[in-house]
Amino acid sequence: MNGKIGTTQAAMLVVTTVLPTAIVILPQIIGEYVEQDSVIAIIPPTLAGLGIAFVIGSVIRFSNGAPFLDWIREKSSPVISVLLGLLLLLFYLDTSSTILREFVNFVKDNVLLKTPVAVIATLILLISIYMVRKGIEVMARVNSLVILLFLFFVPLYLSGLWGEMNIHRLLPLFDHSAASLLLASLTPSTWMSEVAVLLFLAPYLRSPQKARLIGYLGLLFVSLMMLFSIITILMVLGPQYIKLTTYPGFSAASIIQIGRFIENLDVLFISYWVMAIYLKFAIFLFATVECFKQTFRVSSSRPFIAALGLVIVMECLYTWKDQAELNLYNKEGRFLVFILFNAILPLAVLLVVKLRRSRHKRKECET
Amino acid sequence: MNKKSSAQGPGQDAPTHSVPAPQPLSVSLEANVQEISKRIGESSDVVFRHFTNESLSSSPLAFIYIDGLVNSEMVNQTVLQPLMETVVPKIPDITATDAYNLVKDQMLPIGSVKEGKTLESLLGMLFDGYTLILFNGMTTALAADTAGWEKRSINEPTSQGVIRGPKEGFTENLRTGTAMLRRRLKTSDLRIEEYKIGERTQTGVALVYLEGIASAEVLKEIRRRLNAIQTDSILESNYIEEFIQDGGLTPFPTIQNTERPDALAGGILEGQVGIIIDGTPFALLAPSTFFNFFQSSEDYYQRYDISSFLRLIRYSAFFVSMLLPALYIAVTTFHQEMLPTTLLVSLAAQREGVPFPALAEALLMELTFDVLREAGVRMPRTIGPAISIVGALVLGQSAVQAGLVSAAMVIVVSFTAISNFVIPSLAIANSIRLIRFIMMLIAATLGLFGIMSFLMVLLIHMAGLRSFGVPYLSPVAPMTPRYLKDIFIRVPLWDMTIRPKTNLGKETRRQGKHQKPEPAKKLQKPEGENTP
Repeated sequence: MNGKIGTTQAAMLVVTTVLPTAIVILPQIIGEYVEQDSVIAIIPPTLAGLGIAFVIGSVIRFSNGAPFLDWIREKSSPVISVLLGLLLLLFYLDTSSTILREFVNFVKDNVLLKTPVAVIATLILLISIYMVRKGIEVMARVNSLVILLFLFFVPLYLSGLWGEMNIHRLLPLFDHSAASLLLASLTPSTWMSEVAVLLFLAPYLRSPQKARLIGYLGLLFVSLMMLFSIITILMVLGPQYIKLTTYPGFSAASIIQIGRFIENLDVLFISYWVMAIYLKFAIFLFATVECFKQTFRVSSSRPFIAALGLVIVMECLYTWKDQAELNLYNKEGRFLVFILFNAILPLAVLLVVKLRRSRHKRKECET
Repeated sequence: MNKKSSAQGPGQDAPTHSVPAPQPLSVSLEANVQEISKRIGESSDVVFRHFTNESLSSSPLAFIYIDGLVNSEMVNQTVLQPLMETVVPKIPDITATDAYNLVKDQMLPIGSVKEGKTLESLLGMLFDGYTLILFNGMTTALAADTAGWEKRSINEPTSQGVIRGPKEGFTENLRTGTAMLRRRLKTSDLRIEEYKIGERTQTGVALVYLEGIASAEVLKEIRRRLNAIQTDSILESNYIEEFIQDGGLTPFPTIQNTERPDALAGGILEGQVGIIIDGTPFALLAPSTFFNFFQSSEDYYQRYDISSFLRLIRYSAFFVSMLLPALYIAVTTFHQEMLPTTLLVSLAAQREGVPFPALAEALLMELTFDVLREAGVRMPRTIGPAISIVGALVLGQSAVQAGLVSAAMVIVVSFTAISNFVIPSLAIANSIRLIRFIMMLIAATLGLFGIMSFLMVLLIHMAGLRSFGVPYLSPVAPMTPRYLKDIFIRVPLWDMTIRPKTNLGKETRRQGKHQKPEPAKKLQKPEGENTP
């Protein structure tokens, strides 16, 4: 079932890996620190993300699309690969459950106010398991369709809000200290670092040599969309109001009015967003399963998808019960964990490989 | 219509069922005739006739044919007459072999004469309308093609009408079907492969394709699946369709059917493979993607702008037909804030006296419509008008007046029903009739979120579906932008220069370059023979 995916499809998967939650959660987190300077605060995370994409892409180039942990096992020892695998598995289980929790919280807060959380979480999980079982090729196809739909929503959003926009709300620029800019860009960087999911998509890339390009393309598109979203939200709502709303993007969309008969379009945007976040969760579930498969060297991961899903849903239901805790984690804890697993770990692997290679070369020269 | 072995999927190779070994003819004419009449039994339509012709041989000969399957006039003129009249001078010591050759080579003024050595092959030909000629002392018999049974003449297709375009449709006759195709595709590349499928029905099935344009992999796969069919009867093309189509338990069709020879020819020209089945006017086209079901042959018979517009309408109708009742339920039960106040107030006022929740109301009306529709199909023509009165007045107007359903719901259900008929392919229109009910149930429990979730499931399902190796949603997902010229819109014919590849085969050019009609001056190019 798992065919190969092309470069554009993979770049689109990267977009879906980062964008759906970023576009909903980040404007408020950034806005809290730097208000109208949010526009500038996107630039450092983008650069950081591109750096991480470079590292990840290089690792994939070295391994030439071989499964990451198998490759490490080959290069070093089984012990290291299993240890790394366990750590990464923990990380991906954690991340998937936070994504699921964010999704569930959102649905609970906005759409299904009375439905029990467990029902929503299980439903989402079941659908995502179905998606993962169909394989990465099918996910990539659905993903490209969902991104295509974007072309329909952007003009609607823009034209609907045109009258509400006030460019003066973007001013004054550079009003905040470098320290707060840095603080504001920490959390977005963790989102950008999610490009590291490519490590586990690598075996399915048609041309793994282009992994860097995939990362760059995906992240640049994400940054552009983030810029677009933040600028429009700022122009419509103004910096002060953003801090008060949980989901500023949808608040802005709810202002859209077509004539005097269509209003409260946020439901439409939410519906669209639901499709995107399904994909995001499925991608992480896929990475988790892939990580599990490589760590424990199972030949077929299909029987384990549901089991891993169960772990994720349990963690989602019990560890992240408290939304404030999740917000705190997003704001403070997330950065360390994500940078450790998504940036430092691959970087260390890359450095070790490079060092060994140069030593090999030197030895060869000496002999 | 019992299927003796319907469980065999296309995954199996050579058929394994036990066929009795063919029985060769005996030397004795009488023994052969006895055996044939024993096999056929006391059937009144089988005509056995013994005769002798002195000029051929002193021993008797026999004809066997089935009345009703043969053209009697033809039998009389081309078989009986030449054989029973003495046309050659008497040859003194004529052997059975000489007589046989003489008859075969000189005395049968008829197009197709075959030889049969076994009882089974002879019986097969007998049921195809051949007249058998048996000789005493020979272990081979002759079969002359005298087929000519009563058949329906070519009529306008009833299920796929067009305003502009050819008005003839396939008939139940396989040969007429292949002939209609040949008349449209006068190229030596057209291939017609015939199969006999069904142990008891021996239904003729013709695989038609263009050599070099249809993908070899697809052809191989279709042949393999056709050969793997083990059933005792094929009565309609759907039998074949269910045996060979991919997807297993999918509500979506992965094979098209058409009653129109021009549509079949169009499909074949785009690289699809046609399957014409004897006994039904509906031919099949495979592989088919989701978007094929929204193309009508009329799209190419009228201007591209209106065709494109109609295409878009069809896609919207598809979504309306699938989603409208569900959306109505979701919006009125969960997301009232989406509606503007005035509309909401008017809806609320309408629903005030209605005793049912929105879901029950919608289910009731949808089921009623499906009952009406089924009744309309089954009912004798003469009672037709009665149903429209019952449907329109009693169930629509009176139900609203009685306060059983709201007027808005009647509008929703009727619009849904009408939208369903906009989709040119009945196969895909039917598939969403069931999905609509699931959608309604989900909308009533989980609202818009549920609808989106289920749409996601459908999307994943469709993205994973294949028709003979071709992804069901291609060329949209996976995306091939240059093949999108005939999907959501139809670009002018002169711009469709390449034939979209349906599988791993090569894409081929179907039109010359620079086909756009332009004033003569612009065409001053080296190969400018086209200039008027």
